[in-house]
Amino acid sequence: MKKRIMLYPGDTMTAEERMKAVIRLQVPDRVPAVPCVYYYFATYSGLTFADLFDPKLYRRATMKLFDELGPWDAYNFFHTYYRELASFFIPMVTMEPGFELPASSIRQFKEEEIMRPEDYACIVEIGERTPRLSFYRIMMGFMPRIYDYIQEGWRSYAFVLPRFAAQLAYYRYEFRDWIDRGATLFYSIGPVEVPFDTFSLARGLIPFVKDLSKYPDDIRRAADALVPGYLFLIKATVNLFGIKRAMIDLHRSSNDFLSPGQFREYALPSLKLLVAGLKDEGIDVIMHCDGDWGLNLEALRELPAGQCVIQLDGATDIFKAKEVIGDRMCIYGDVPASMLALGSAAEVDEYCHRLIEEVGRGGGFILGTGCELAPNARPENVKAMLDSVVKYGYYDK
Amino acid sequence: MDEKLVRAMGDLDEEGVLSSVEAMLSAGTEPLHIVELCREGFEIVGKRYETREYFLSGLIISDDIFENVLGLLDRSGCFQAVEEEKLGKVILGAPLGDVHDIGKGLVSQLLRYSGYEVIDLGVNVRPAGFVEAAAESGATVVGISTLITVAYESLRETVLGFQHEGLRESVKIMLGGGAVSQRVCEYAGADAWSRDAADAVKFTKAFIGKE
Repeated sequence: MKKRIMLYPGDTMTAEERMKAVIRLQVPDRVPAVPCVYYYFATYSGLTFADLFDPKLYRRATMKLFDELGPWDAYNFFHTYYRELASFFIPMVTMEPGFELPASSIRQFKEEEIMRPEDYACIVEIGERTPRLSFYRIMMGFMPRIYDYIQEGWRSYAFVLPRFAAQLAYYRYEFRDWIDRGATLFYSIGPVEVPFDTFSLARGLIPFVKDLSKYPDDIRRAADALVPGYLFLIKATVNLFGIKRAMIDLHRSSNDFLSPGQFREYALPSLKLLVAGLKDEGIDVIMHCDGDWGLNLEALRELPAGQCVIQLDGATDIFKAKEVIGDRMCIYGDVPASMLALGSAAEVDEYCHRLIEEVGRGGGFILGTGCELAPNARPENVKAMLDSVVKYGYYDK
Repeated sequence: MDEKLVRAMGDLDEEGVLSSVEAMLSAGTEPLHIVELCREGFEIVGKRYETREYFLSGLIISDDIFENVLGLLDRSGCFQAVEEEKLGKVILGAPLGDVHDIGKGLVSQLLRYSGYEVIDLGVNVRPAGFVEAAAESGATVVGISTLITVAYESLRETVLGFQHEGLRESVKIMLGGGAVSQRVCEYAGADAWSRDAADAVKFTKAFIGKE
């Protein structure tokens, strides 16, 4: 029988039990904390951002942070040791530290047209012919457009697939560090950009907005056609790592970009299809919702209750989100990056206390950073955030 | 006809806008008058964006429609752009270390349509780049847009640069972009921060004092 590791002396649930409880909108023993960390691993360990491409340095840095400022409940990971694999999930031209950027810069994305208008029809065709492989086939088509050293056709598969396999092996190896320490994996796969947002990123914002007027039906059809490919990819990875959760990114569906009407008309249908398909497999969904989602929250009520987590980054009023959809989905967030970088530990403590009291009321809440933990966050602020779930987060105290 | 064009532009009705422009050109309307009416339509778009009736996608569409209007005017052969008097000069850029430019581009678009001259320095601009551009152009508003928290130091250095050169009193500095907040504004020593493009235009109008 597996040993039940408790992260803190006051805990009565394991991290995995706690995670399942909050997603089902039940009251756990305490509020879980799940910071979303990548570049901060480097700053805390005195590494450059480029060093994080080295599996040994990355792994050492993650455990140093967890052991010294943690623990926390789940490993929210989104690193790849091969830069090209990041484009597999966010199909954009990237500039990486140690490559196009100095080792001390963070990754940045460029708005370039990776995808062409005629690709919508191609995606529909591929989706009809090979539904389960549609995601791979589309992304493999994009890779040579992003990296000039990746060739088209079978050569792009020959380039990507071995790296993909190696990355999965690295993941499997380093996940043990977290499980041995009592944390759980936040998800088996993620973050995967949902179909609609994939088009927005790959086409570039301005061309894509124009596409919405010119080819609305093609976009809807192409988004739906990709869903079986996403389901196949997610199910395969969930089977490999065993945690029945997936993270999906919605970078371009917020009200910063779309009206609530456009969201309902174009983005929501394929999102609902994807979430329903995952529900059939018993897979929960963590939605990484960048930007202001205030006017889309009502529409998200159409997603199944007790299956989804919505991660907010500080741009959406998280307290209002609790009122509008707190009875349907678990809310995750949202200590702002600027507070963690420039504020005081007392301010962080006070804000986290408020989040736990108000958003955490009745369960269904995960304390986290608003989007990624700022690379220049103050260690005492990160500590204050993580400590707050022990200070204020127990439900029976 | 004038009202129809303004309304169509405000409603983002491309077909309506282009048919009105064609009809007006056939009737001999002065192209500059047509441009002016489009600008009035843009004001409606801007207001609707401010009140969240329109979203960023609306701004992008309005820009596209206007480009098509300019194309029609060009093809008509009777349009010659005349240098108009601008309401003021605004410098825009993304700070050192940041290469994102979409948000900045939209602020630039709204400011231009509101009658301001925009000097866009692009992305990854050194602190001294902002200071030098302001000194050379005489611009009185500087807008810096960033999406990344590691650019905070660069924002602060830029504001300090204006102080060192004795230009701080004559220039107002506004910040924008997803990584910016009141706290960042205070940290950098800027004058204002904006959540969206409409806010940036409001601040510019308030400072320059002309509409």
